[in-house]
Amino acid sequence: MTGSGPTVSFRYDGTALTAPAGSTIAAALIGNGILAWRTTRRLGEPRGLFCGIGYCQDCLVDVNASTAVRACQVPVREDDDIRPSRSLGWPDAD
Amino acid sequence: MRTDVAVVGAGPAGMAAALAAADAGCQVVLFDSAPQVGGQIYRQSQRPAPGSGPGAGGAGGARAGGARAGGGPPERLRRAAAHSGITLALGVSVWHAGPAGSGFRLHAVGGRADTIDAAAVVVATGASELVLPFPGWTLPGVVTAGAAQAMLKAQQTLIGRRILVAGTGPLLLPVAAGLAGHGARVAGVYEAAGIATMLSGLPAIARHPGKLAEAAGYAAALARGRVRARSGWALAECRGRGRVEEAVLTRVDRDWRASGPSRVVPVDAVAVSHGFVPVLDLSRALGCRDEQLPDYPAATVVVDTDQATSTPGVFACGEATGVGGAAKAELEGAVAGAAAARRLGRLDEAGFRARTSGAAARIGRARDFAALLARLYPLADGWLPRVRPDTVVCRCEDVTWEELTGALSAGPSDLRSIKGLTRCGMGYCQGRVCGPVVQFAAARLTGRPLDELGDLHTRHIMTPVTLGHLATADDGEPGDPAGSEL
Repeated sequence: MTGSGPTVSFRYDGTALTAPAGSTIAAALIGNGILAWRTTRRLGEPRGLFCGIGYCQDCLVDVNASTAVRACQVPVREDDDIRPSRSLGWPDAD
Repeated sequence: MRTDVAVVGAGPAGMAAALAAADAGCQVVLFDSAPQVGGQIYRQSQRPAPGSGPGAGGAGGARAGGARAGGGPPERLRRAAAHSGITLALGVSVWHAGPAGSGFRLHAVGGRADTIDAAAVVVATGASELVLPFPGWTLPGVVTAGAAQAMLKAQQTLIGRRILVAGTGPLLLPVAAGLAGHGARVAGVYEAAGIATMLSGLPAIARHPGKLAEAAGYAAALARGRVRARSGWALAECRGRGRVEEAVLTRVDRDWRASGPSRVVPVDAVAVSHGFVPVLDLSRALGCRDEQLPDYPAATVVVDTDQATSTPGVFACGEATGVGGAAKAELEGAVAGAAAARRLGRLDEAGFRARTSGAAARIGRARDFAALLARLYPLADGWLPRVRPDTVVCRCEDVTWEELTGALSAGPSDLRSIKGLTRCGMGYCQGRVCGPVVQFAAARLTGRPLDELGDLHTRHIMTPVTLGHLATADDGEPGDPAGSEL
């Protein structure tokens, strides 16, 4: 990804990636070509961004020690360890 | 923490309300769960520096080119951010509220104070997007039109490289124009409303020249991007393995039933929207009366001419009282804020009238336009036969159409029974996404009126919180009835 301005480095599912500073986790993942980061509990469907404004809870992802964080609302931070969410827990209050 | 007026929602309605109350001498706390003021319509960039230049990212997104999107609210509203009477509580979510003493207590997460006591509350909670299900609507890459716009405005990120925009409503054209103007290849705009319906509204639209000019601007932007907009076409299906790869569109009649050829369009993203539903969690928690719309799966807060709800001390404005856009929201907000100040004795009757006469004179016209939009973009029934037995209806709990229709055939009395039978609305989002869909489908499939079925909107918790928040919430109310529903 090219672009001017500062970037942050993070890991997704063990892979080192970068994104423009100020990116939400969802924008950071989509900018790296990753569209799905959650698997639904019952049917095992892949999910990613849907409503984009924080109400649908479809884009939940695990970040560092937190599970079920809304990727469209939470900014990615330097050294974040982001992992696919299997939505086993309830959302953290973020 | 204690304040005169708590305004919840910092879109145009909430910003105008905060300004009106603060200008009258009230101490105001203005809440929004977003990190910036402006709401969805005046969403601002969250990036410190514009990322320009052509994107070379992965197959999904791309960096938006062209002029920077997300300029934020107009100057007259931006004054709210610097007003000495207004405390901004941004990135703060109000998750519960109720009466306390002679006023109200709001519970919030994300800010410094867990509870805020206010003598008056202004509900400016806006609307969420309605998407009617179709096969493939849960595939990654299929997002709401609002999501595509939010990613562009706040993140300068395109949701794909070849994006289809479909559904119905006034949001489709501005979203498509925005995407095209920032370097996306827009693979077409497909509006389900027929040309006859659109043309029937022309004489009425002509009375709103500003809106006509706005529409002409979008049309010009689409023409520059060589984007074709078609009406009378519905998005019938999205297909792909693990992500959306193609969209199937079909010519439809005025009831949205297939009436002609289909076409398959290769895409890597789809932005879809069928309308908006007012967010009523806060108004309901505060006991404000709302009214089911006759032919739309949504309710609106009932207000008098001064934006007062049925709960004394609570005022409502903007999309919560009826979806109608930024102009209506800002005018109603100005009245609601002044009405709150009058209730607290900061304005007398003459002062209230003097400050609100300008807005009051223009509100009628703004509401007329909202009513016109509702007529131009009605929801039809033709999407129902396109849904397949295995199409997911409740995205959180993976409830399929077959399970919903099975539950409906058991003759449930209302939506709460359907919720119990199917788990629709019991998941993470608490029915925010599937609630209107289930209500509309149930009404159409059983032939019963929407208001008789009720809705899935009755929620005690407005945003996900930890059990710790429930346990420490000090308003003397037991936490577990609400907690058990999460």
